[in-house]
Amino acid sequence: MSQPEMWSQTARWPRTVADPGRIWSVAELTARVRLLLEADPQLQQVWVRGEISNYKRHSSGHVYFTLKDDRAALRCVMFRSAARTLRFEPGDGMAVIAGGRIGVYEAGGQYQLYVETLEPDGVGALYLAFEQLKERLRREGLFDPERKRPLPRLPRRVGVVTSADGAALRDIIRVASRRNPRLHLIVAPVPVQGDEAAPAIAAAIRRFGRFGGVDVLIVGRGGGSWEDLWPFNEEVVVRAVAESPIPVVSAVGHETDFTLCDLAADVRAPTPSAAAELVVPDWYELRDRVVDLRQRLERAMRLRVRMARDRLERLAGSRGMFYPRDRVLQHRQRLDTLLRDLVATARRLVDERRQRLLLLSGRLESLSPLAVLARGYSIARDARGEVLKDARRVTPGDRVDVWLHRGQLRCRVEAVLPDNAPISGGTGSGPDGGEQDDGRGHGRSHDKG
Amino acid sequence: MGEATLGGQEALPDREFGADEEPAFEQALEELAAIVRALETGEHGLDRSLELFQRGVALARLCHRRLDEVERKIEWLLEDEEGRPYTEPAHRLIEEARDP
Repeated sequence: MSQPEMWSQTARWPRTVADPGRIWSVAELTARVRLLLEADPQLQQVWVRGEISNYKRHSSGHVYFTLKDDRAALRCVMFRSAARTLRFEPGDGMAVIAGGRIGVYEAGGQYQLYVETLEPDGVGALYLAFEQLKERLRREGLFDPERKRPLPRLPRRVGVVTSADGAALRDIIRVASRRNPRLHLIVAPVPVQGDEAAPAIAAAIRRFGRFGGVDVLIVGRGGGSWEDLWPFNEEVVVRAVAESPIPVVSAVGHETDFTLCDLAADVRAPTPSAAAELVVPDWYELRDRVVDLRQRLERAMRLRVRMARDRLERLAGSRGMFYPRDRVLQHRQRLDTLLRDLVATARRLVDERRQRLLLLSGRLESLSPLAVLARGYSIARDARGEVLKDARRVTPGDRVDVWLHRGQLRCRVEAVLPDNAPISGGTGSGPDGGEQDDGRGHGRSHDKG
Repeated sequence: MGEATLGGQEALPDREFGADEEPAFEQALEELAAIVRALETGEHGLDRSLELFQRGVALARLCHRRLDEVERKIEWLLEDEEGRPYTEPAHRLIEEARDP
């Protein structure tokens, strides 16, 4: 033994008691205390009311806290296995009722309450859990309105997550079949109450996400107690609904039941039947609508064409320039005007010509050689029939034909006199120029005559 | 009725729409309704009206096709050992649906 210990033992704790024979080890003594406490059946199943302080959740999953009232404190521990069943998150200042057994933590030298169940004092645990989870998920944004997706108007396939034997599924099938004779329904059967329900429901929702073959999902069950509906308030289910790539309609219980699944879903239906009404369109109604639109489309187009034709007709009577046809009409109108002008002009021209013709023909009349002959002139021609204008063209002895006003003379030339000396007998040479001769020739011959 | 078709074969694909541009039923229906309204107000010229009309006819045809293309079926969605989803006919549900 070292010197100071020797001193301390002898000086401060002298073995002067009557029976120094039994000296306990700490472990032995602690075990004895433990034995006493744990042998008391009352302490082994105890309920205690208090307020939580020093609340601490260890990374191992165990939960430590102290229960206090105004005069005392009690150390508490809740092992991971028990803490997992907590449906709310305890916290400092919370009034609770804890159930468990009193034990001793020998290594720490502490007696404590080993908590098996923990309930909020005053409100139900489920309700509190509901409120707490709701608040947490709301803060995370899982219920945000902008997350909500519209349901497809005409889903080709509808998925259902519910019990295979429940009234919910029968209701959904009945309503859906009535509304759509061509519905393709795919059902993932799950338990909808009990401990295994929540994970199974969440898994089924995710299965549909992987499967991908449906356009919309109905998740729900028929009516039941608050506890029966509980799986639809479990975080796994709420998260699976919020994360579903397929729009989800939540249909849990009755009209008055509200679950967190409802809040996370894209649409909440008051009942499974109502969900089917929402999701499955009235096929006959849609078909009628398409038929109606198609008829209106054709009617409107026919009317539109008729309107255009009427407009064209109207425009044809005006000077509008909207359509090529109007332009043609305009051109035609101008053409008509031109034509009218042309005809007038032509008529005027023709009239002028006719008058000039009359005038000319009058003058022509006076130019006719026959008329000249009538006045006593005659025309002489040689044997070839050419009109003789120069005496030197013939020689004595040639034959010459002379045309008179009436009849002809066949003559034989006796002498040729180049100058116009008067010849006795008065037979002058005829005027030069035949039928083709113009006025000037005539005038000259006239002058000659 | 059960799994039998209700007198409708899968319609042949329309040629008016390519695979990428084929609108969903609700879009097709909305666009069709908008076209009908536009034509009924007569606000467009004849050429544009004709274009709209042709588009409208194509959309109406698409809607009819969509309405007729699905067969009545009820199936279970299950999962194999590796977690792969598969479906099988839900004969019991089909029976029940037949006699409500």
